[in-house]
Amino acid sequence: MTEKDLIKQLKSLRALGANSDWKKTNRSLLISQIKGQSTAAPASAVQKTWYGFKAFMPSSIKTFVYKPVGAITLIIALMFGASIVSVSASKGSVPGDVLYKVKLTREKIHAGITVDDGKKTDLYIGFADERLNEIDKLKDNPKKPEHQKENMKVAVSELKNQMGNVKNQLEKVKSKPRSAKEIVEVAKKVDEKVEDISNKIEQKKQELSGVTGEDEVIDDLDDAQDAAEEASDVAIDVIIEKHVSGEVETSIDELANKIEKKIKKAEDRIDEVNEDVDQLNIEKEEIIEEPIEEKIEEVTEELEEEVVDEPAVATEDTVIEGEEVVQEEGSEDTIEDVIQKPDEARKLVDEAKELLEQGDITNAFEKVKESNVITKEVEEQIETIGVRENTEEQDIIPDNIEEETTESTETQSSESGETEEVINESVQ
Amino acid sequence: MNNKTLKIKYLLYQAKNQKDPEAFGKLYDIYIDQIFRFVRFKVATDEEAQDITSDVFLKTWHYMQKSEKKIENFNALIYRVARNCIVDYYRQKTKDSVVSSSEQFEEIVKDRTNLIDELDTKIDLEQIESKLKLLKEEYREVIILRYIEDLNISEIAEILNKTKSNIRVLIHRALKTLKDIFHD
Repeated sequence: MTEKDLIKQLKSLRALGANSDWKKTNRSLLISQIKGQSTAAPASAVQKTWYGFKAFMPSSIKTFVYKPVGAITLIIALMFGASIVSVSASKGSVPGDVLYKVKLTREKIHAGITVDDGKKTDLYIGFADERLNEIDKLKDNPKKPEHQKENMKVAVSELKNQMGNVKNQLEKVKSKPRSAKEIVEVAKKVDEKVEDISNKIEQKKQELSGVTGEDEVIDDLDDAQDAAEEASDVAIDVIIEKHVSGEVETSIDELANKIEKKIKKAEDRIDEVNEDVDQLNIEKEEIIEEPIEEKIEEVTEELEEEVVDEPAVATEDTVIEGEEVVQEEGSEDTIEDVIQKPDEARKLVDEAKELLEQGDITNAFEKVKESNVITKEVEEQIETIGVRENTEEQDIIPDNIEEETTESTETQSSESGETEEVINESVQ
Repeated sequence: MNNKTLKIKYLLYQAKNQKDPEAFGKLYDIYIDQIFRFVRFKVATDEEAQDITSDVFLKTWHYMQKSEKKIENFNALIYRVARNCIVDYYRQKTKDSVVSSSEQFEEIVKDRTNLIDELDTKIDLEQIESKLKLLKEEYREVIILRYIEDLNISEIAEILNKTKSNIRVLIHRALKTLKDIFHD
């Protein structure tokens, strides 16, 4: 027998273990014994964080952190006479703080080492809640107003990630061989908590609306809310699936209540989208009513005004304007398409209501989800059209100015009357 | 740091600093089989091994709560406690109970055979285990810790309170002796 064979055989002894019944009984006994003896006061939050840091970080990182932290602490202590203990741990940090990354890493490690999928889902929900707290802190007490927006965006983006994690985790719970009861319990908890988070996001959106420069944050909050609703949809799907299959019975009232809430949200969303669509409709009518000649005249006038100060227009502008007109015709089709969609979404919601009345929970919920998909498409298209129009509006004048500048050396000496002719020729 | 090590560190932190019995329960889940096995190789019966193993976990918890020192290596700590518990056990027992007589040795092999049958393994565990019992205590201990419990040299050195070089030499000699036993 070679040494290798011998070691292989020795390793085979690892298969020996204790009797499972004894392990269970002994575990319960051990836990009850130590619970009975454990009377010491728990460590404080600062101690816990510090011990946690010491326990997890490799010595190289500890040294890397100790040195600057020690130096900074000393400086602060010397400057303000503050005690070393007052150096706050990462737990209360917000985006923009030095320790914020440590906080996120700590959370990732915590989630990484949590084996139980249900508990992991709870953790992700807890982290999402923490992100909401951070948004509040940033909003109420901006430490660095100049970075306020980007810090808020970091917190919102992390919030969205956590909602994605909750959804993925729930999918995992669903696919693992667990008892249907356990799966439904997790799903119900997710639905309840995520609904709470979604409501909080809505509240934040309202608080921020009207605040200058916070539009991007609100858009990101919209995305986070979508992610929360997706997680909630998966949870409700699970609850319905297990109810329909007869594995775990949930009361019809409870299910109907959940779907009614979803219907209400879908309707509110359609209403919001309709407001945007009405605005688009007005713009579209203006485009149709306004003859192309008038449009050209309007643009010409705009150009004239611009050219008074910087008298230069190249013939290329004609081409650019031609493209503008063609693009607007294209936009018209898209707008037409977008305008009709909310009606489709509304129709689906109405169907969902009817199905719910008939007691067909599964299909009612499917209709609500289909309706939400259409509403989301409209929201995205409106956003695209909005972005394009803004870009086009910005493009018309600055581009001309740029071209004027390039041509200005040739025409700077021209009289204003000559310039007018050039404009008319080029536009015609 | 792999996932298991990280998990153990986290649980250790929870159990020691937050005095969390559930975290210690999870450490129990991770270590119970290997500690039981380690003890079982040194005593005559499953029942004895069970009693000692229970004691090992309880003593480890007490140590963790009382000690001010930072626990760098839980592996090393728990095996050391296990080793001490076994020593205490034999101190209290009469000489007749020590696993040395051929009669009791046969009993162990018989007892273990039942366990092996349950495990449905193709390898002849009984044979390797019986040969292992023929090694002297010092050799058997390092072989168990190194190849069955998969501990590294540093951990074994810490448990047995020897230098790493000593452990390397011991493992080398133990393996050679075991090989000779197989060839006989």
